Amino acid sequence: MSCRKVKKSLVRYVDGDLGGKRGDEVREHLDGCPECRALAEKLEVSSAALSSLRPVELSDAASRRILGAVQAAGAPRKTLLPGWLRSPTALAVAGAGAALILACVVVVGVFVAGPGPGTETTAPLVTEEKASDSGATDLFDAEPEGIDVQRMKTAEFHGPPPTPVVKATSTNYTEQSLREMFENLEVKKTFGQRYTMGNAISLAPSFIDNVTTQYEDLGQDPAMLESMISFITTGEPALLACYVEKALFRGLDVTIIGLCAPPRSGSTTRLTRAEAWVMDPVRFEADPNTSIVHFLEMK
Amino acid sequence: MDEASKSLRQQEDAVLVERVAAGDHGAFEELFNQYRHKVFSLSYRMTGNTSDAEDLCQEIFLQVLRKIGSFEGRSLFSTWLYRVATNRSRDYLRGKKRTPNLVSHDDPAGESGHDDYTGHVKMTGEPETRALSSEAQALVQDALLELPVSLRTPLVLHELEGLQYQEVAQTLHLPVGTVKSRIFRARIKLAEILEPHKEHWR
Repeated sequence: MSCRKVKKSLVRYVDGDLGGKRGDEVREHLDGCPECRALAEKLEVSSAALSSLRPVELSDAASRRILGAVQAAGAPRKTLLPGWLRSPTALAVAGAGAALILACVVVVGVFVAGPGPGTETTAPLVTEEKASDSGATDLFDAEPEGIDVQRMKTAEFHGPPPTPVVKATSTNYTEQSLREMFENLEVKKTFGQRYTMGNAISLAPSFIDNVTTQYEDLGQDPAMLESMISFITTGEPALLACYVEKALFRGLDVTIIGLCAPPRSGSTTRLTRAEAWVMDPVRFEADPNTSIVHFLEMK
Repeated sequence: MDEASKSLRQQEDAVLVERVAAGDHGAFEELFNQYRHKVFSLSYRMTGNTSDAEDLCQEIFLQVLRKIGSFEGRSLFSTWLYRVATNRSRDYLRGKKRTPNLVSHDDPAGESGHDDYTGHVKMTGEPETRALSSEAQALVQDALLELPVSLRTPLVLHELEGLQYQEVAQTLHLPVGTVKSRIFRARIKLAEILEPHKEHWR
């Protein structure tokens, strides 16, 4: 068994949830691998440490105080979503063939690394909504301007909804169907000269993980990534970088395309990312694993 | 919680949520009572001291009360609640801009930061073991605070709040694989931080 495989099962093994043949295989590997043994030991220590924590409870006095304060201050408000945010979901529900309506919004922007941990990262961005029959504007010439990420998160949109550019009828997210979708995307014509499907799709499962690690290594708070899919190479100075925030589109069937900065010469290709992903919110709720991340690579 | 009582809880929550959205104070109090310890526990593990945890807890429930109208029932109420809680925690921690280690050695009254762990929970055993236990728990809690929020959150949700991987994934809007990987990394890092004291847990 390889170290990589063992690591995947190590938590279960250490927690006693890996029996039978698998368990034996892991044990065998550990006998001969000091690195994995060290990891296993760390997992054991953490398990014991966490188990030693006694449950904490809110005192009755604090409970009364908090409840009182909350009821005094708050009152439930019916939040009204702008009408257009609701409609694609209604369409998705109505479509018997589970047709996915893909709205393509391309955000062009520049991401500048913040000064360090504990501070808000400045992320000046430009949104450019792609209208289906507008002239093919060169996305990469857009001027950056500031955008308030918090405002984006509350989905306060004005103006017409993003126009769907592709209508996909397949609900099986195979690589084949995604490639086909990609081939048919209007925006591909715009950036197709520079980006290709490449082999990056095989990196999809570990993508968010790699990105998070890079974020942390740079001293950034990766919590922001939770609602982002595309990563922007923060090591790069102002270059082509686009990202779209998933949180903005909860409830919609969307395809989001993000393009990341091309790598500095000599750096690894993993820093270059673009993704198009298709999300059916109903399926996503049921099993986030069905949301596919699909990559492009610089040619 | 077994499946049957889980299901009952979900149904009861759904009813309560509707009543709260309609302005029923009594229903909110019921929801509060149902979830107050869970929310406080999360808040405590994320902030490391009672005072901050109570503040955070209050902010979370206030948010719940205010936003309950926008809860569409597409997920479980508890998932939504934990989502609100983790988002508020993150914002709260950013706002505080605290350094990871909250232990304040020159604070004799113990008002800022560090807690007397014996205050909240029933401790059993001999006085020596009680004291040792307290110290050991404090070490773990401090170590938790040294983890970046992105690792601390899934770790706390899964290991301490008892959420399954799937529930953590839904709460944090992350793929299950990422949740597993973060918890793995969090545990390794936790052990590394606790390395000098690991005899406590041998």
